[in-house]
Amino acid sequence: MSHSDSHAHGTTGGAHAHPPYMKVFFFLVALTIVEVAIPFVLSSNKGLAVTLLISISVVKILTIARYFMHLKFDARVLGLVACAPLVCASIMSIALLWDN
Amino acid sequence: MSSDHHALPHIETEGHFEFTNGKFAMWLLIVSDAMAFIGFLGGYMVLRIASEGTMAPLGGAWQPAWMLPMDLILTGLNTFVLICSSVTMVKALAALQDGNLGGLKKYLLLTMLGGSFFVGFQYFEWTHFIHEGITIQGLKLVDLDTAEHRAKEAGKFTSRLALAEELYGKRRFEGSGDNAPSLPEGKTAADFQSGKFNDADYLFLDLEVMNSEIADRRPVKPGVIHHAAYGIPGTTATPKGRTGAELREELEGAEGKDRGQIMENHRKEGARVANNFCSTFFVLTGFHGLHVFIGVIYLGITLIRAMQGAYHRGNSSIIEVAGLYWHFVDLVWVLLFMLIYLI
Repeated sequence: MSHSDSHAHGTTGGAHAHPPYMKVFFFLVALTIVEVAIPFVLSSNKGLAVTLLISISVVKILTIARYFMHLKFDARVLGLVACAPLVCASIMSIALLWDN
Repeated sequence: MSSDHHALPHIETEGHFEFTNGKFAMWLLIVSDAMAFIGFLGGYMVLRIASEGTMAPLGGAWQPAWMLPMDLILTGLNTFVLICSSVTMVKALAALQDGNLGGLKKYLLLTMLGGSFFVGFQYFEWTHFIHEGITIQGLKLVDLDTAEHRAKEAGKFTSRLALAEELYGKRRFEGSGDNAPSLPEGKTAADFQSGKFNDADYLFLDLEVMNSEIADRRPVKPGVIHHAAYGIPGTTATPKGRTGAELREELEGAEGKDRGQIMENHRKEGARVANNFCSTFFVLTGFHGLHVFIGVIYLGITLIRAMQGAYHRGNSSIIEVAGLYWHFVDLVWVLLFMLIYLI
């Protein structure tokens, strides 16, 4: 996070400046509308639909974690802790691929 | 940023989000909980990928297509409500950080209402599915034989078609243009009404109707027209992508004993896929719903303490910690919604 960014979330004359929660909210709602539309619009192209849906979900998850859960503004160690399950998930996914 | 109640080594964070023991503990809880969800999702994906091709008559879909299209929109709306509750949660924190205690209480209450709505909708969805015969153990539908028996006992029996329409919905037997379901060769609607269909005819019609519904993008019901011969109601799976016509051809060409074996294979394959879907659906949505329910109680306790004046700017991290849990629940739903309902 840059110095100017950290300034945006600091204290200004007793009143706090907050992360852009409403912008994030509208962004998430817009992505959800696109998500729900995809199975109807791209029903004939399942490969593209699946790729888009997974991509949108990843963006949504990162957005929630960074802004609503404050990982963008928090100590880096919390971000590392949050990534721990991803390591386990990756190991499990590789193991399960062999199972199939 | 520093605070008197810091027991952890001082760690610099941006803005006014403190790094407290409680926050670190909540992250550890979230991480361990995430691993539980990942385990469930791993099992779900293994079963789903292994079922590829077995539901070919339904366009290769792993689940019976009964979720499309109406339920998808309703669940999308429920997802919207959960996102709204996430934004009210951060608004509650922002209000407290600004010293606005009234705002804190208002937004906490709104978050609780959003969570309660989500759980309420899930209750509605579950009861609807269970009523339709979709349970954690698999698909259990009332078949036409049972319905006919009950209707006769009640003195309300008219025809099998009327019963089928009542059980599965009138539109199920309609179609449009090229997508209209066709009857088995040499059979008429009158044969169906008078119960002159054999097992292969019922199977053929079942697949025809289901395919017609999908082609017209009409809501698809899980029920089959007749399934007593298959043992497992509600499934239209055929082994490894055979069409209804192919299966019927195979059945008609087979001797009595082989025919029984073909039907048994069909039954087993259908049962495995359908029951796997049902079980994983209820386990995943149930485990998540339990988290939302616990979150609502957690927020309720937080709201009561807020009304008692327990919170102020100096301890806003307590609200942030509660928010972390709530956003985690939202985050997991993003994944579940995509994997269960959309793909």
